[in-house]
Amino acid sequence: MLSVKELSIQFGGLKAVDGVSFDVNPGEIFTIIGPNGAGKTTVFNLLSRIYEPTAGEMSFNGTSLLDIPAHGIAGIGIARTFQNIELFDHATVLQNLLVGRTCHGKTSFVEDLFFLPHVKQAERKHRRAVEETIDFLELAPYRDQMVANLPYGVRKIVEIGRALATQPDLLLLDEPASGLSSEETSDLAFWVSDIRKILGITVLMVEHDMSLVRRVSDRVLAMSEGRSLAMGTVEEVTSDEKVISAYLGAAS
Amino acid sequence: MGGHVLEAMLEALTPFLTQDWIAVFNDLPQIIVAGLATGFQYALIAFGFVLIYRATETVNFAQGDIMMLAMFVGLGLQALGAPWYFVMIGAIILVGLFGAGLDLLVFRHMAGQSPLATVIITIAIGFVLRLGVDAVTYFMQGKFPQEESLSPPDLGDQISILGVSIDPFDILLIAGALIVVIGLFFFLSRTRMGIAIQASSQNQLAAYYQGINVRSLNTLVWTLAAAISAFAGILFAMSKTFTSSVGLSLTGGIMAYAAAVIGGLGSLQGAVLAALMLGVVDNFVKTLSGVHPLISANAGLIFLLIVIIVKPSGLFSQTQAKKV
Amino acid sequence: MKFLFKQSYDDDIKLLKHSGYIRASAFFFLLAALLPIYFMWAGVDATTLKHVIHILILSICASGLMILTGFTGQVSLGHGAFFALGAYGMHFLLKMGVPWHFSFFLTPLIIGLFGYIIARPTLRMSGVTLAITTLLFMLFIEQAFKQWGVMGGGNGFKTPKFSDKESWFFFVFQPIAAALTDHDPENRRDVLLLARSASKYALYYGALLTLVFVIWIMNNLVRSRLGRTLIAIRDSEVSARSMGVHLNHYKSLSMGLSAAIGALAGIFNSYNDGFVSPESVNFITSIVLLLIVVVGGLGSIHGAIFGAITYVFLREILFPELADFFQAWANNGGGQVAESLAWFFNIGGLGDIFFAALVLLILFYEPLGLYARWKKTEAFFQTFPFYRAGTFKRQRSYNKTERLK
Repeated sequence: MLSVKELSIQFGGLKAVDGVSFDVNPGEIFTIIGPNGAGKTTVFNLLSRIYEPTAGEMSFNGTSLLDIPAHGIAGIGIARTFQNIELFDHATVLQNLLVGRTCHGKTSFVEDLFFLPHVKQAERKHRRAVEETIDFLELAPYRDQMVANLPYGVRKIVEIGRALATQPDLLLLDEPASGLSSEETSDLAFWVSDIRKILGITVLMVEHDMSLVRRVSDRVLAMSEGRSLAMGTVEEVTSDEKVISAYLGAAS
Repeated sequence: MGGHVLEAMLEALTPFLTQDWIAVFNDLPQIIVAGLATGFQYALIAFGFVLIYRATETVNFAQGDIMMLAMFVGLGLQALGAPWYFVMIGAIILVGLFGAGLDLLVFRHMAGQSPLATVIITIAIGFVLRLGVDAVTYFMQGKFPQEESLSPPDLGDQISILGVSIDPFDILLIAGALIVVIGLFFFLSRTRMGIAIQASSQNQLAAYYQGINVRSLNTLVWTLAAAISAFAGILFAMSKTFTSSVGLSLTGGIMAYAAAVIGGLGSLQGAVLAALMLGVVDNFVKTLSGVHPLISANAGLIFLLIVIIVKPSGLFSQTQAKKV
Repeated sequence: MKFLFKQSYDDDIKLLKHSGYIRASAFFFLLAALLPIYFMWAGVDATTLKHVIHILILSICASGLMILTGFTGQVSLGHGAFFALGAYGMHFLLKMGVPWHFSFFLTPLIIGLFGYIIARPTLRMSGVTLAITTLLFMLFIEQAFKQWGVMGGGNGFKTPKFSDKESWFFFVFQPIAAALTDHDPENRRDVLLLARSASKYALYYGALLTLVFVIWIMNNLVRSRLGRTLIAIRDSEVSARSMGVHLNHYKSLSMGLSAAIGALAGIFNSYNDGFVSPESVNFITSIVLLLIVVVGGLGSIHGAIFGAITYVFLREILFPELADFFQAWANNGGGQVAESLAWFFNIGGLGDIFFAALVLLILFYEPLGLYARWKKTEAFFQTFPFYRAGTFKRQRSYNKTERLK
């Protein structure tokens, strides 16, 4: 589904990502782990075209991502969340989720300004789609609240909701469990597996919390200093010597 | 319609064809020197703006009006009979204190508010200053301020270096600007305090936690910026006439803001370079004959618009896409 | 306490959300529509009507700026330029022989397109660049107008009356005005006077209808995809882009929209002032517009109107009235105090200073402007007696740099 080949990016002299390759198969939950500064988030930023790679190939369902601008990524079915929540703070949860519908059924701005009947139709349709997401993530109590007034844990879920509202084929989750309590994390584990099971969405995730990774991941890629160290099931990767030394900093 | 456009374009180009280029070339050193003097004047005004942006990430649109305030303070001191150096020092001290007061009364309380609100507060403060100076002058003299000027110091006649004649006042100006920029550069990148200022600008909260006294640092920055503006303003007022709208006029504040922006906001070197380019271009086009008055009178403005449209990130950009 | 029960999605989508909205809108619209009739009946002088029209015009223009600053989060320091471009464009087209109605629609379209085009390249980086560009652009426009001989150069030009005897406005208002003011139609001078005042009333209704239209547009904006996109850009550019928003296009679009609305206001302003000159592109207009938007409350539709009312009331009604009051007092032997007070309130620009100072105060205590105060009052009555002071408390966000070097 998603295939990344020899992806590299350089900031000045620093090789943040250096020749990383992996494939994500339809219907799986794929996790990237690694110590801080390993380049995991950079991979995400490359996938969502915020950074321009210095070398390498990325393709999604056969189309090369390099041909698509950053604002076109949502349109081909890739949605993402951010490590430090990037919600629209001074808008309600409902409005946030509705922004997720931007890439579906575009109405022109003139139609929007005059609110022509078919804009109204589109609004109903968007609302119905968003309500499904709200039901799915149990966000109904917060529907009309400003995001700025919500607790951190809820905001994390709202951000996942906004990504789901784009109805993606592939969901990129950037550290979904960071800053959550252990209860919230275990809720999250259910949701992530439900996203795959019920909605049929493939998930690519960056995560530190190994308990979450163990519970949901099919395959894991371990990265360190921009390079990929090991790929395989959770057990294979966590028992890999290179991975252990990267985490513990043991002299090789 | 198309014919008209073509005609207008040809008309705009004719001066470049009919120009006496040899005469222009002969005058070139003189033009460049005059341009540099103007440029350093813009750069001096820009420094306060850059310093505040660099240290607090506040875009301070009141900077030009703070400069204007210094000019009028200078005018008042001169009216009391102070010699030029007292006028300068007095204005620098008083306006510096005013800068500190601004921070204590206003900007200190804006920490944590949205940057947009802060920008608008600076605009409102500039507005109040400008109209306030008008009202105070009216109160003192019964009329609004007109074209005013400070009497320049008597530094002797024009000096001729290698066939280029320079006003000694311009030398004072250029030297002053160089001292300020070099001093600021060292202050920001070589002293503990300067580094603390940079740190607090990058992440206010983290700097607080590190035990940096962000509040008093910010007060210092505002004082310094206001004092630099006062210095710039007094030098400006001694060489040109000014009105109370100089803070946002084409010959004053706006050129400085624009220079700071095309220099890449927050970069001292960039601001100097942009201001110098601006001064030279402005002076160069003015000396060409037969150029349409709209262009010759606004050469600097047009230059700025072109640079901004071609390279909106500025010549020495410090701003990059936000990290996520 | 009042409870709202939503029964379908349309309850959130429709223009007038519940009966309270309908009643309030109808009330304010009727009030505005009947105001001139009251003015005619009570014989209020033309200056007051002019001020009221000014409120309408500033509300229109500030609404336009609200789209750019309040919704999209971009500051324009040169919005006065579009105001003036509207006036110049309209009268230039009229001079070229374009029919009135056609130029009335064409001018905002052209200026809007123009706004889009100049914003497109400058919006690539931070918002400061846009603020500076609009400022430079405004100054350039002012200089260009000074050189534009056809339109009177530095002196500007006089504008004709908004509606003449042939227009339908005149036919509608002439008999009403005649009936209400007891003018003698036989007297030629009176007829001329009437024609002039009828033209003013026509201008009032023209501006009012335009304002209603603009408010309708703004409401449509807020409840449709476009408005949500703009808000998304304001709050987080990076995630808006990942949701499929083409940043440059939408930022420029909001600039174009607000330019077009500004031009529309400029057209009315040229008729209200009776003349147009390059000085009308001045910096103060631009700043005042921005302050109006902020005082009213960024990101609210009401805000623009609240702000415009506050400004015009303070500057053009309250201060001159106070000056007159103290002058009268001084003339009746009020002594030194009355005389100096009268003198004080006569200082030009005092209203502007007070307005700017008011902006400072409001930003200090109510960063979301008068609209937030309105909302709080509304909530206080709706939830009486359970209102808590912290209901609308907002989290502070600390500044983090966007510079990486």
